[in-house]
Amino acid sequence: MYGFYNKILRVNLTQRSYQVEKIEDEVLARYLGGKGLGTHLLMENLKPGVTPLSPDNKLIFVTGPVSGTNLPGGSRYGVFCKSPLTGGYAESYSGGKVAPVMKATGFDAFLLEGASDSPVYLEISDKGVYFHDASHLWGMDTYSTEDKVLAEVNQPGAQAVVIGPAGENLVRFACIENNYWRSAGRTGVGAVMGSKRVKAIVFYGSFQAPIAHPEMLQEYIRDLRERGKTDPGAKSYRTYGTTALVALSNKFKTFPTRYWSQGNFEDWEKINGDYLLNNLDVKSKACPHCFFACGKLSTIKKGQHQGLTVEGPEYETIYAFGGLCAINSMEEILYFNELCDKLGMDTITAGNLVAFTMEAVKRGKLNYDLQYGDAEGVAQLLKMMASREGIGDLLAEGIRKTSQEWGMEDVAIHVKGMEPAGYEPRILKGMSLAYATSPRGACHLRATFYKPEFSGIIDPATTEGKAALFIEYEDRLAIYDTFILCRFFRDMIGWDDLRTIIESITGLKLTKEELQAKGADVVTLTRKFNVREGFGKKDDRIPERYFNEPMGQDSLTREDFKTMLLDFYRLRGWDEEGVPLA
Amino acid sequence: MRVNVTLHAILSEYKPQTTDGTSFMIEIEPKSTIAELLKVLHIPEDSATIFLVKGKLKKQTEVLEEGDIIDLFPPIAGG
Repeated sequence: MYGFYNKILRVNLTQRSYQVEKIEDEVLARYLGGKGLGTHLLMENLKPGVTPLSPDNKLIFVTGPVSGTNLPGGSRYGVFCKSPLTGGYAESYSGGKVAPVMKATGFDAFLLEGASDSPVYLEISDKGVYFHDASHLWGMDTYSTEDKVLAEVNQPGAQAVVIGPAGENLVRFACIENNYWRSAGRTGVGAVMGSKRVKAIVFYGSFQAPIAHPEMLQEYIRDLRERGKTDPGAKSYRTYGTTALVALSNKFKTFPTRYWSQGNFEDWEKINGDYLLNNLDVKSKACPHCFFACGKLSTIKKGQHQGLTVEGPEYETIYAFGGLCAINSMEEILYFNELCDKLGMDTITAGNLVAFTMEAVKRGKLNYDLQYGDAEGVAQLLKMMASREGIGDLLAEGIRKTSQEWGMEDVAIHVKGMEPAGYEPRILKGMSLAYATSPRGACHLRATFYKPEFSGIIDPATTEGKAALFIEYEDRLAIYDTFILCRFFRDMIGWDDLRTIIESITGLKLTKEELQAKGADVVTLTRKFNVREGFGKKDDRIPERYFNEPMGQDSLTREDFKTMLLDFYRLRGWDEEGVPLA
Repeated sequence: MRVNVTLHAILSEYKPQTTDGTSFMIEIEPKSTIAELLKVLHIPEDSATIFLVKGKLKKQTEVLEEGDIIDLFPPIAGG
């Protein structure tokens, strides 16, 4: 089919062999690429009930129909497997420069299975697969690993995805990194790569998937670029990245602080976007062909971290360390960002676990020297998590096991074992539905529902009509993930734009309703994966603290939550237990 | 009547020349709405899309009162 190669590459790490397999047009037309294809391959290839960190798990990398084109927002790849953090569906995406090069190898997806008996790195290109010894790289941080494998392979235009020590040590929230600071961050995909003893994968190639209507695509891109010149959202990303949200979230009291006990941080002005721009040396950085340039390459100008340059921090990293751990220094947060990136750990989960440790100490549940606001202590604990040293070994197992061990399950904030992003669901009630129903745990990205709630498109306090609007957003963003299109374009690329994009690339002429049905189909497929793994309504819950510790007069109630959840199941065509009927 | 306005993020470029910071008091007609305040400040409609009055989310049609504390934000760039 246009936009694809109809090929997947299956790599067996146990045998150090590979084979090329065909994907039929019917599968691509039904699921498109990206999330649809990745989830389909998981359903077809993964036996239910496998242990996530065993050789039986599969690690699947995919691109989408827009990958390799010059569509702004199209330079992202996806990773799929069974999550070692939640025991359920895992998906994670990363930007940077890798996706177009992955696509240029001539495959639509890469399925890694088995496990190597010693560290390896893979060289995947349009010429085939080479297995390289990686013993000399084991233990190395992500930056050095990326530099080293690219130098060793020495091919023009090559790009790499890598893991750090956290992935090697099977830290359950380890991520896969590329271009130093871009991360497939959530659900522990890096630990699965580590369990297969794959330290890195280098990609290069010169293939280009055929495009059905190239002129139509270029005309659309010209129009999008023109609109981008005056779009205020684009300007905001270009100037502030995601850091502009710190002010709004604090003013609106939705900035989780001191391990979810407050909705704003008294020192937020020391960690907001204006502080970053006024006190650090900041340059904007873009993925290929993108005019948003949301990446903020920031260099610290003073203090003990002077000279440190990191692309970041994003809003979520600022919330996780600034809010939750009460760290009132942007410079320190940038340093934690650097540590997590080099060690290869998700900043959201890592920040939550550090704050949970602070809370455990405060409540007298743990004899350890770490108070809210202790920057040195945060850095120390992050290193201990990645190396599994001391209490870091327990924290590396994630929030579920840690909270059981410390007798604090009633305090722990997570859904299905994964912690939420920085949007307070007691105020932004739709986010409680998002956190509860996301197949990967408390995820903010499936519908980015904070967007319509902050913007007043729907009243944050109401439950009426919320599930219906939530589904509209979730379906549209599911289509984004099948194309693998950056969701920061959500205000500029609507249903009609998506129809134009998919027709120009693949030749598929689809109505809005048909496209939305495909989005819903993919969402339901992810649900089926989790149902097969034993998940159900019992797991679509949010922490009791959200009900027992209200925030303000309009705080989320059990009734609010139940109403939205049942509406959601009904509108999705699932039964009252959340099981898809078809 | 006088209200207290804070312009956040990229809206700072619309601060009146007579003020130093992005947080300032401004004199507007009694019973002005948020939409009318935006016109006074020359802020295009699509540039400011989130409005808080005394920390509560409001629509453009909200009628303002003497002494209101107003936070104006551009479209959300986050997540």
